Amino acid sequence: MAVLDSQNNAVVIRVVYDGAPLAGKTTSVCALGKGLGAGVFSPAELNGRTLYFDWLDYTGGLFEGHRIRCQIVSAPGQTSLAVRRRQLLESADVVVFVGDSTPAGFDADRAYLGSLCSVLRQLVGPPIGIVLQANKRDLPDAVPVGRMRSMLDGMDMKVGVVESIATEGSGIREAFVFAVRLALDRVRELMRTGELKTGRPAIDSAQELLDDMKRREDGALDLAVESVLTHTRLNALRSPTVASEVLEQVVREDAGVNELGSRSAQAAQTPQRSHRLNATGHWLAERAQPAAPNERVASGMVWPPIDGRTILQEIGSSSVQLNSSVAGDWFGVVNDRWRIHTQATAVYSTIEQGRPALIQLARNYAATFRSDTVERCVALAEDGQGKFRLWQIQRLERT
Amino acid sequence: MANEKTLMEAIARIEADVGGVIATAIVDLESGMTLASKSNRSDFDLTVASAYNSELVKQKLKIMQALNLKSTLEDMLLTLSDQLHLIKIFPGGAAFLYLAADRSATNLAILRNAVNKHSASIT
Repeated sequence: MAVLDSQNNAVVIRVVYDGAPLAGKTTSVCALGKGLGAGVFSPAELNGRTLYFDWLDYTGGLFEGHRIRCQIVSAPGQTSLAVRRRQLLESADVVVFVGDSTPAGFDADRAYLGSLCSVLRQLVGPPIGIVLQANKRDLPDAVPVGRMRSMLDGMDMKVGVVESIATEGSGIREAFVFAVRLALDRVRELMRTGELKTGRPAIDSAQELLDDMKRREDGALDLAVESVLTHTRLNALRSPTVASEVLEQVVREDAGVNELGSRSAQAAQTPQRSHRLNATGHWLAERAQPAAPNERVASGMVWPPIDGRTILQEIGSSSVQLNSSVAGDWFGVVNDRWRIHTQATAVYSTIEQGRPALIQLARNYAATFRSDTVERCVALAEDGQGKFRLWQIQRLERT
Repeated sequence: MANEKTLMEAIARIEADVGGVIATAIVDLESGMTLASKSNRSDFDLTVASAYNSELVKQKLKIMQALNLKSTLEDMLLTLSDQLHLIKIFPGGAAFLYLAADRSATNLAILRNAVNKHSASIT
């Protein structure tokens, strides 16, 4: 629903907080509001449970000279309110999925992520980015982040993961700012394709959103909810199938992975360390290792724009050990999941010099790997030595 | 980048070393959004200041590229008639710290020293 509100010189984006019941959506939005100094409006709640949405309106930052106005809404999680949840998700420019890190909540996360994907898949336009805010990390039985990533892999989802403790406000703003960057990537794509709408947002306030939702429901859902509303218990979402699928994933993960076979002669070269002997047998000075790319790559310098940035977010949050080949290429493996590679010649003094190469490589990938684009990305990133490097990142195949 | 709690603790340590701090923010360069912030004056709009300072840093980086300068932008020191502003760019260039202080209560050397001293815990 991104809109360029030229009258107020602002780009308006909608950030939707989604997740299973009791995952911490409302707590997260309230903590975010507290940190940003903005009030949260909740039109209706019952026994502390969100019935419509929580609304937070915040303007900050700049995008292409326009203020960034964020309509931040949390969707109700209860299954009886699925219609309202869907309506909000369909209006999102980015989704922050608040994941419950408890073992019981983990199964519910999977179910809700699946339904989230179903909704987003039906939308047209550039893909909607998703940030998984893994909440309740302070609990002693919190599921390891690695298992959450494995679950996302099993669902073929490219999602950035940020750990949080919503009750303490920890990780909340980090997840939000990352989500804003994903939304801005989408806005940039809309601008590029001429699809970004201009004018007043269709929904400009919490009251307008509430009126719109009520108008669509014609009061029927309200009556049903008030008469038979019960808490959606996490156990009701569990099934033996879900638990066994998760267990199967863990077993597969323990079985290990194989490195992706090389696709070119250069990639097949035996890796060489930075230290090597010259012709007289003396050690050459170690070649300075470039900085690996991460999610902070400049906008417009990563392809695909949204899925690619979530891949970079995972790489950026991991330690990366690079090796160099005799030819001067750099490569490495991250988390046993990604292979990153940059050619010796893929170094540029400025972003403008590197951009044509980035575009050409992206076109080649799009043409060659039509059904596989989310398993790889390319990025033009600062190398930490005053230059820019073109990186190729590929998913390693599992056994 | 550290989490918000760690960032706020670092801001508190910097403020303890510097007199007359008006406002401090850790800002995401790309979007101009604040990752952590603390304003000691209600009339100082730190949200607006952070957003436009991100544009200032981006413009300076563009100037350096246009001049083909190979060096790294470390910080920017700005002297106003009654205030001092310091922008400290963190390694990697994805975020920066912005600090505004009362000029009568401190000086640029103290600002820079305090920020550099406590920056390690931020990145």
